[in-house]
Amino acid sequence: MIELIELNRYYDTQRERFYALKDINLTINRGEFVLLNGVSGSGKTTLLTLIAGMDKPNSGIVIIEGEPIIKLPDQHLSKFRNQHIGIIFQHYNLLENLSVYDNVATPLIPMRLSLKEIDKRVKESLEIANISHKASSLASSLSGGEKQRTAIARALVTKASIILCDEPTANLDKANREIFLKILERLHKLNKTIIVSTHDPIFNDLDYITKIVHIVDGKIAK
Amino acid sequence: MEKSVSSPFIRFLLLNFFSEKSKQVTVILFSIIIIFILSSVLFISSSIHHSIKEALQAQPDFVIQKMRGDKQIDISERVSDELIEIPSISKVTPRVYGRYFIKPLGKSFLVVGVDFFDVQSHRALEKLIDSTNLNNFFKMRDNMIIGRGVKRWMDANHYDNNLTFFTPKGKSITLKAFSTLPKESALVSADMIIVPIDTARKILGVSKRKVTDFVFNVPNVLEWEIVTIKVSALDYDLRVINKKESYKAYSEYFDFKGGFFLSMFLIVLVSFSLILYQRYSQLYSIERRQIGILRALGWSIRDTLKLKFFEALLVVFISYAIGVLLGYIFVYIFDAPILKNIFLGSFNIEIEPTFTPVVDIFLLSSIFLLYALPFIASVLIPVWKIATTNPKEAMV
Repeated sequence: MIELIELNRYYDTQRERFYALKDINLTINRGEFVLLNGVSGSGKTTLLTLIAGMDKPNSGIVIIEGEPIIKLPDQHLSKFRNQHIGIIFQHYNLLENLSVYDNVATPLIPMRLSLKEIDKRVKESLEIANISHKASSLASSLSGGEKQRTAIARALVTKASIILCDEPTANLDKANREIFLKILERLHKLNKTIIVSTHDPIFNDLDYITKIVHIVDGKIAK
Repeated sequence: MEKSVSSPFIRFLLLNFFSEKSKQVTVILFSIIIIFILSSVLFISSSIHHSIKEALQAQPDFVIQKMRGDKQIDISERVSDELIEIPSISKVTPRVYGRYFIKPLGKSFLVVGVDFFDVQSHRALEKLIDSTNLNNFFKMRDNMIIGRGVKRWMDANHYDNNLTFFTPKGKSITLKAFSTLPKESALVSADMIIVPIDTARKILGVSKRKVTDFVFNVPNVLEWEIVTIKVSALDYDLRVINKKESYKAYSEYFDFKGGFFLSMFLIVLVSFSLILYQRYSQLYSIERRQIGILRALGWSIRDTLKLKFFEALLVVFISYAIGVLLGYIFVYIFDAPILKNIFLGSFNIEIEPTFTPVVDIFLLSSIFLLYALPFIASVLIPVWKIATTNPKEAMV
């Protein structure tokens, strides 16, 4: 379960205080498929970043699986993120000079697993994300859709229970969007908690979405 | 690589390292140049120090000169009788030597007079020239043994084998080059001309009953201080120089004249500026993004620093091995062309020294630390700065 309590994230400029997120209270249960809707700059990505523990709020608490992650020191927070959260970025954020296989294996390095276990997990994830055939290709040589599927495989490889997707379809064509949605549906069936930040209308008609959160100017719209 | 490396971390480190070939090649090439220069300078310096030490080991423990008004003057042979009276001194050897100037050419040679009957001088010379030749040398009075620098100078000026000296009394003495001193001793003997002691007296204008200095040995180093006091007490004009002081003076001369410190300073300065350039140029943004991605994927600050530390260490080890090897070949096989002029360029005649290979753990560690520490620090400090920021910002 994810609990966000009285979350505030603001930036002070010389003239004023700018709130990226204000008074956010939200509970997401395990296995839910949550859509964060809102225009660009509304605060969706900031919310995802706080859930991922990549940024800290100015006030408020983020509790994931009963753990108040904000208070964790870096070593523990990184380990927590590594084991519980998989992230799919809008711009994929792959290590372009490495192969698809090695990109997917990257989150497993700090877990100190054996090469055999890493190989098993990477192959499973590549299979789920339907990108096994490109395992040895360099990330830099992939198309947008292939990069997206590599990013999905990387998010799955640690067996994370929470998958965060930041504008995942923004750079995909129609065919690749549909492939992506099918993979998400499969992940949902695996009881993963999925949070998608998007303003793409393609998500609106999905029948397996459990919650839609509208964010306007950093606040959750009633 | 996948099958041969059993640790996932090392496998990832090597994959990542070799996947950025162009970046690594640039950094390694630059590092090799720096380490090559650094090791060459240190090899030359330590070789010179070693040669001085070796040369001075064959020298007597004490040299006694007479000074008047800060100028060295000749000294009466009778002083040796007073010196021999001092306990701990058993044998005193008189010496005649001095600089012979050829004014029109702006050159000078060190003329050293050797007494055939003096065992100590004889033994010192035997270390340089084999004894059969040495006996022949002393049989013929008009012979001289010359340093390699003198030989080169004579050849270049078409002197054949003979050199004519003009004494202060206006007479001329022509000496024949009997033999040339070995290359190994060139650092201290390049401009030396060894002649029988009477010939040296004539060339340098030293009277019959006078010498330029006395030398003797005191085997017990603990007695050196008291011997110095006792000799000085004989005559306040006497100047007492022991072997340690000579070594110090020589070392300071080469350290200073050779620009050793200047070279070190320049190398460190160039290293820093180029490393900083590399860190803050276009490579910086790629590295920044990579660190952001790793952090977002759950790599801790420690994991990230560990990866970059070992990456930097790989660069340092590869560059160190190649750079030191090249430096060794450059100095000890090719005798450091061009670079040796920094150390030896101030000699009045061109010398062609052979650097004796001197490689010790301290020297190798110094080279490693002088390069590795600033390099690794310049890599890890920016990495640490990026790793502690929001990964989202680093990935942009």
